[in-house]
Amino acid sequence: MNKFNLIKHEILILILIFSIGVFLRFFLLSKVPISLNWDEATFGYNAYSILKTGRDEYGSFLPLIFKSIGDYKNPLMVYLMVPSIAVFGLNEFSVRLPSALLGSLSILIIYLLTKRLTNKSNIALLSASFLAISPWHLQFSRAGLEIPVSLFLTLTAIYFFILSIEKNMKFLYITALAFGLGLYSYYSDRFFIPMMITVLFILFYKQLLSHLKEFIIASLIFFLLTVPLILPFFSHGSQNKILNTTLLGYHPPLSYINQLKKEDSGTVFYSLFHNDFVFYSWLILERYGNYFSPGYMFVKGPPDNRQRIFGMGMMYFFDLPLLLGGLYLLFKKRDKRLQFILIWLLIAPLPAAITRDEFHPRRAFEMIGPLMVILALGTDLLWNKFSRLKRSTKIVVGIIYTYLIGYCLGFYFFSYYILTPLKTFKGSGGWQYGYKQLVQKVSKIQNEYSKIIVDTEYQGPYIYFLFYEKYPPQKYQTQAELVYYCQGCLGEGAGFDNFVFRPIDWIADRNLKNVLLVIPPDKIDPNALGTNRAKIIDKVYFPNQEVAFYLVKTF
Amino acid sequence: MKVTLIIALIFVCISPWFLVLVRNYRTDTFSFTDLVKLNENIDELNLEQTQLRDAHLGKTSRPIVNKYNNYLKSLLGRYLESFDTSFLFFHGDIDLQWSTQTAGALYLSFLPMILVGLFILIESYKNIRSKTVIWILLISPIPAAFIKPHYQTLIRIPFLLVLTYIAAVGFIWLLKKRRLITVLLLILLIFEIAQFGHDLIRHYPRRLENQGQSFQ
Repeated sequence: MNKFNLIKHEILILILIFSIGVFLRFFLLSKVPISLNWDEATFGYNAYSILKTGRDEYGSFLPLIFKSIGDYKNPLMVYLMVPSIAVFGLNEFSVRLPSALLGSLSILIIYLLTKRLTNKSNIALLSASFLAISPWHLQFSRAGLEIPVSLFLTLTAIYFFILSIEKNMKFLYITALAFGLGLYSYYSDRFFIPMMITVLFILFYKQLLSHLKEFIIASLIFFLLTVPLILPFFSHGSQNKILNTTLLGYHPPLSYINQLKKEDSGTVFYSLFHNDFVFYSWLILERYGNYFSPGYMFVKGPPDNRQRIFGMGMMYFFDLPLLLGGLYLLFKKRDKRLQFILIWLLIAPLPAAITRDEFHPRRAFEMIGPLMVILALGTDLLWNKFSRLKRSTKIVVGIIYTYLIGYCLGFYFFSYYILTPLKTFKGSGGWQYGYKQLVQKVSKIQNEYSKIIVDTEYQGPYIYFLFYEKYPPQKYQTQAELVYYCQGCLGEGAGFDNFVFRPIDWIADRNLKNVLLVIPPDKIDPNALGTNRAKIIDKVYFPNQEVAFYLVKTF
Repeated sequence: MKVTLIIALIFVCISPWFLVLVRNYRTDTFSFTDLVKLNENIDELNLEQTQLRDAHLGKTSRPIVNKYNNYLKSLLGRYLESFDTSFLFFHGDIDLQWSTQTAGALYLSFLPMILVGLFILIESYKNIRSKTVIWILLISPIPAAFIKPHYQTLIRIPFLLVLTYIAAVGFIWLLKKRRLITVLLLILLIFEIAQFGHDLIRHYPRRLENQGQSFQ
């Protein structure tokens, strides 16, 4: 086969892989995940607000940090949603489109990057294939979240970095731009990107410093992109976010500390073994280890319902031998580029390891890049070994492995599209199903009541009312107020027009006149309402037919 | 080989799992409880199959979502638990009887030694000894896969022994080729032993008592 035919062949395979990746990311995108969670809804509504007014929901003009529900979101995702919402309107599809699109394009970028790193087309195609079907990548590419964007930018930055070393140093400007934009995508990247830049510099400083002019210009580009972030970083909101999310803001219970001190009293042991350095180092190391733990990665996945795929981990079982093979190759070969992949894998979970959650795949998303390359390397290695096996062994191993692949892919399909939505629909820890249906019912009757009080037990109702009603942002900006109902909680929008969003006190609130109370079932006994003060006029149901909300009219 | 075995023996004798085992040893505690059954979590499986049927995927999903695959998945999950960093280096057994839960079955300082040792053994796979150790490493967690309690230490003793041997292999290589790293690891190891010993003597008895167990 001549070179042209080989290239044509390779391109056709890549198109096929890309098509599969696109299909998996866009198939039933509006319906699975089962509903928008409040991160998606806040991104969407703020993007809508920017589109209509140039301001966020609180009236800040083109902000670099979005106050949102008090979690102070990074801006890039919001701005990426603006054109999508302009074209397709404010709905689930337009909110999820940027993630799905950039997640799909990541397949092409990782192919290009792997080809540069390994000089092998088959390994590049394999890495693209693994990314196309990666459950971890699919989980977040199909939600309107920032991390597929940040991964896309990281892959782009590294690809153009390698290109700059090999071809033309001017590609370094694109690297600087991509890394700079990455700082605006997700908080973890503000930790990850500087580390990655440091690693690239240490490994390739000779090539960089031999082209000093391009290096300085690229550094300036990156620095200029960083400057606008400096002040917001020191804002009260940012600092709060860091304290609430990371171990910096975590302290063990006082009773625990006092007990230790009591048992160690009069000795040096408390200071030696229970000091802050030892305590926090241990926590960080434990969390770091979880990202290399087979239990979390292949079996049970994360505890967070929005991140998990029921019945499986973040990777397939059949990935495991390939991963081990790829890691062995990385340790064995003294190639700088392969060493870089290993270092990339080792630093990627660090931003997640310093946070409070024991296992948070969203924050460790940058691991996906090196993992897909390692899987491809492992496949290449093990395929060579497999080819040299005896025929009978080949048949047995082949049957078992094919069965495993079929099972894993089949289970993923059934779990992701059918089982997971039915297990993860509820509450702020899940996909917060029910709000869309609630808004559809309440909107029809909202003018009949002096006040509509919506309980905040499932968190974030205000943003769903704004989103699904497509409430005019310029009107909301004059009414926007964020209220905190507990220490360390995220905020709730206080209300707008005749809507009030707060915890309902049934005993007190049922005495209000001509009010619609939207209340979850555990707060009232529907059989003990009586008919002279309040009446259930409608219900919203979860997918399992349990009641999500009662709509209770008072009179 | 002799030196490796001696170091492995020392490592075993100072390992958390061994020290807790010696401390809490009673003849009547060695009973392995339930085995994982084929009908494990059958209610949940029935619910899943119902949900798939409701989605008109009942027949298509049957080859995938069935009790046999569930059983195999359960076994594989328990097998892989043996390699969990949480079990090996941070918390150990979930039963307080077999772990202080402030340390894993092994010390964290063993981890680099294990990785190095493993690499050496894989590189010398053609050597019968290396081949044997690797195969024992892969086979020894299999019995644990059939035991219902998660992260059970006792049934994983053979696995822990072979891991400790691999750590000894790695330690010897590091001692010969990377003295500085060895020194640092030894410092960390001494600290971990001291910390573990302190917890075992000072704080662990209270945690056991709170759970209604004393073993003394």
